[in-house]
Amino acid sequence: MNLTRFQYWLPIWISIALLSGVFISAPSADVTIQTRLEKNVLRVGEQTQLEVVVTTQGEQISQKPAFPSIDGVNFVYGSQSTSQQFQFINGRASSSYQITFLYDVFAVKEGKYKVSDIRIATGAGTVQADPFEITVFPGSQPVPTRSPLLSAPQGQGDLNLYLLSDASKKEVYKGEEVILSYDAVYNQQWKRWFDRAIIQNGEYAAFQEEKGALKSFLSETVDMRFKQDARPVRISGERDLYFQKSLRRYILFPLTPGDYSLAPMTVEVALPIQRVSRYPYKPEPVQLKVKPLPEEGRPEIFEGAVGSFTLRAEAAPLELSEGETVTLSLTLEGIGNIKNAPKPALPDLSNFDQFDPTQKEDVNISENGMRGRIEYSYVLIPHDINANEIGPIQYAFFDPSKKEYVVRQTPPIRLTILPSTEKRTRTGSAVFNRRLITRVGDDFRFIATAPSGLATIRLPLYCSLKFWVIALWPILLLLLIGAWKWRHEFLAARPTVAKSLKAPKLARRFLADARKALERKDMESVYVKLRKAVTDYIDHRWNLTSAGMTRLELKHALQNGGVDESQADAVLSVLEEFDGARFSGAMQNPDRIQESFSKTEDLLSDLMKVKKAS
Amino acid sequence: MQRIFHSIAWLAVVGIVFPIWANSAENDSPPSLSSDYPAGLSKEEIYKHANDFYLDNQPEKALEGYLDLYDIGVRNGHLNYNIGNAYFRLGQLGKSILWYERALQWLPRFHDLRVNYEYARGLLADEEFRGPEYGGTLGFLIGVHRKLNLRESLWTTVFLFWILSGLFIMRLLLPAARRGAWLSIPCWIVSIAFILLCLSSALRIYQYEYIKEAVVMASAVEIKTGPGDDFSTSFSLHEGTKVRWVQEQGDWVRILLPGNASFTGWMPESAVEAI
Repeated sequence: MNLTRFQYWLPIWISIALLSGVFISAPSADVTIQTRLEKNVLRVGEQTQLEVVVTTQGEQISQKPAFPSIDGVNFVYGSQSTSQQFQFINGRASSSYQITFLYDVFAVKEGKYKVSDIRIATGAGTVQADPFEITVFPGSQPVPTRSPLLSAPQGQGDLNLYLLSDASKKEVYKGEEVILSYDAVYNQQWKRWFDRAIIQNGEYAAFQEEKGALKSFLSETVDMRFKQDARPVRISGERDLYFQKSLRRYILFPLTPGDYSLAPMTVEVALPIQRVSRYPYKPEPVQLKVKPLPEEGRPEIFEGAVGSFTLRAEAAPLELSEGETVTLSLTLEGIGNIKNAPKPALPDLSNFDQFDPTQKEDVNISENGMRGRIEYSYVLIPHDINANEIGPIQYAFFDPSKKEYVVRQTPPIRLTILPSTEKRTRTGSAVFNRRLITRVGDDFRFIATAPSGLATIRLPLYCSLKFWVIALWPILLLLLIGAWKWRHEFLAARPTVAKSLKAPKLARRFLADARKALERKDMESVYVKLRKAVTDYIDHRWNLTSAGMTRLELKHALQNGGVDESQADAVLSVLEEFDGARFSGAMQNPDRIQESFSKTEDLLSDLMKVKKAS
Repeated sequence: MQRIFHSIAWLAVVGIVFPIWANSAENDSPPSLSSDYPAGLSKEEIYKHANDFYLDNQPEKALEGYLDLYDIGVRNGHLNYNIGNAYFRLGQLGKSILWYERALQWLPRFHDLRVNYEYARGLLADEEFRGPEYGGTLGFLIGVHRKLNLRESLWTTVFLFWILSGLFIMRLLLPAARRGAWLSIPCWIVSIAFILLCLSSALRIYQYEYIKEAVVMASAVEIKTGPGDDFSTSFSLHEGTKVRWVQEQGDWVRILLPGNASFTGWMPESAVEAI
C-alpha cells in the first residue's frame, strides 16, 4: 500500500524538484569578463582585434564594456554576438549567457600601454577584466593628424564627419598633372556604417558638379567611393580615432597660367541619424597657382608635352626587298597627359613611301594620376636599296619634377634592303617570279573626283508625285486588263448580247463596202451590200433570221423588239426597194443609187436609236 | 486583242519614259560663290578646282569649294565624302565623322568611304556601343537592307512591283490550262522579295523621317541629367561620337547612345551637330 502511494507521488516530487532548481538558481548571477587580444605587439598604423567575452549566470547584459582612455591605442567597437547555455547538474538546471564584443584596436603612437580598466556594470556590481599590455613600435607611416580646418556640414550640428579637400601640389606648370582629392574624415562611431555602405555599394555620398569650375583644365574624374579602405587619422584636440575615406579624385592638367581657387563640386553624405538622412558639404576651395612653361632651354622640336616620358623605336623586318613593307613602331610611355601628348615627329623618310600611322592606347587613369603608353605604327615602303636607315627620332617634353626640358632620342635603325625578288629571280620560271598580292594596310583613301559627285540625288523619293505615278502605273494596267477580261467572259457567256453589241459595227462595215462598190461603179454589189447592212443589223440586233421571214413576220418581230410601226414599214419598204432595183434595171441610175444609200444610212441611224424592248 | 496589246505596249513605254523624266537633271542655275574661287565658275569647274587643291595638299581651300557646292544645293554622297576627307585632313575629327555619316546615307557600299570612316572612327576617344550581330538568313537580310540607300531601296521595290504586276497580267491573260509551275513559282519568289523590300523601305523611311542622329563636335562634353549646367554629370563624351537626338529644350538637346539606351542625358546644342 505504502509502495503504491510512493509510486503515485514520485513523478510529482521529481517535477517539483526540477522546477525549484531552475527558479532557485536564477537570481544567483555570477558575471565574469575575459579579454583575448589577437596580438599585443604592433607598429604605429597597424590594427588588431580584441575580443571581450562577458559570461553571466542568468543575467542578460545590455551595455557594452567601458574602456579606459589611452593616448596611443584606440579601441573601436566592431560587432557583438550572444550565446546561451542550459545545464542540468544533479537534477539542478541552470542557464548561462555569453556575450562576445569585438573591437578593432588601432595603434596610433609608439609606447608600452597597460590596459587595466576594461569593466562592465551588472546588477550585482561592476566587474573588471584582467589587465593586459600592448606594445607599439614606430611604424613606417605614422598615423597622420589632420588640422581642424576641415569642411563641416552646412546648416547642421557637429556630426563628427568632415570633408577634406586637397591638391597634390599647390604650384604647378601649365600642362603639369595635379590631383585634386576629396576625402571624408569621420569619427570612429561611423566606422561600421561606412564599412557596410562601401561593401554593399550603397550611395553614401552623392556629388553635385559646379558649372564651369574646371573650364581652364583638362580633367579626368576618378570615383573612389568604393575603392580603397578607410585609414585611421587623428584630429588635433580629439581623443577619438577618426578615419579618412577617399571619395573622388580629379586628375587635372591646367591649360592656362593663373591663380585658381578650385571648388568643382559639393557633396551630400548620408548618415544614419534616426533615419538615413543626407547632409550637404561644400568643400573648402583649393588654391592652385599655374605657372607658364619656362622659355629658357625650350627645344625647337618641343610641341607642348608635359610630364615624364620615354620613347622607344623598333622596326620589323630589318631585312627586306625593295617594294616590301617595314613597320616602324614608336612607343611613347610615361606619366602625365599622355592621352593628349603630341605625336613624335618622324625624321626624314623621303626614301620611303609612308602611310598614316595607326595608334594603340593603353592609358590608365587612377587616383595616382594618368599613366600609360601609346604605340604608333607606321607602314613604310623603301624606294630602293639606299633606303637603309631610319634616322634617330626625337621627342621633347618639359619634366616638371626636374623643372627642365628633356629631349629623348632613339638610336637610328639600320635596314638591309635587297634588290627586289623580281630582279633576283629573273632567270627563273614565270611561276616562280609570282608573289602573293598582299594588302599593306587599309590606309586613308583619296577623294572622289568623278563628275558624278555633282549630280544632286534626292533620297526621299516618296515625297514626289512623279515617283508614285511611276510606281503605281501597273495598277492601272492591271485594272484595264481585268476589265477587258471580265467583259470578254461576260460576252462569251451571253452570245445574244455579244451579237447585239456587234450589230452597229457590222452595219457600218457593209455601208463602207457599199460605198467602195459605188466608187467602183459596181452597182449590183452596192444594193447587195446595202441590203446586207440592213438585214445583218436587224438580225444581230434583235437576234432574228430575217432571210426566212415573210414581210408580216418581220414587221411583227421588229415591233416586238421595240421598233415603232412607221420605222418597221420603212425597213420593209427599203428592202423591197433594193430587191426591185436589182431586178428592174434602176440600178444603172447613179442618182437613184445615191438616194438609196442615204436612205439606208438614215434608216440605220434611226434603228440604232431605238431602245431594245426588254 | 491587238488593241489590248497596243495599250499594254503604250503603258510600258510610259513606264520606261517616266522614270527617265523623273530622274532628269534639275534646273542648273549658275552658282554664286562666297569663297576665293574665281567668279563665274560652273559647278564642274569649282569641283575640279577643289579636287586640285586637295591634291595639292591644300585641304582648307578644297573644303571651301566643296562647301560652296553644298551651299548651292548639290546633294550627293561623293561630295559629302570629299568634305569629310577635307575635314579629316584639317584634323577636325568630329566634322569628318559627321560628313562621312552623311555620305553613307547615299553611298552605303562605297568602299573608300567605309575605309576612311573606319579609319576616322579608330581615332575616337570613346568606344561606341555596338548593336547585336545577326547571322544566318536574318543576318543576310539585314546586310541587304544596310547595303541599299533609301533611293535604291525604293526603286528596287518599285521594280519588283512591276515584275510582280507583269506576272499577274500573264496569269490573267493566259488560259488556266497553260498556267503551270513555271509561272506560279516566280510569282511566289517575287512576292516574298517584294514584301521584304517593302518592309525594308518602310523601315528606311521611318529612320529617315523620325530617327535623328548627330555627332559630338566639342572635344569633350559632359552629359547632364537635365537640360542645364546645374544638373549633375551623368557621363562624358568626346568629339566624333555618334549619338541619337531625342528632343530639344531651349539650347539643350536630350541624347542617347545608340546600342545602349541606358546612356542618356542632356548636352548643349552647340556641342553637337545633326547628321
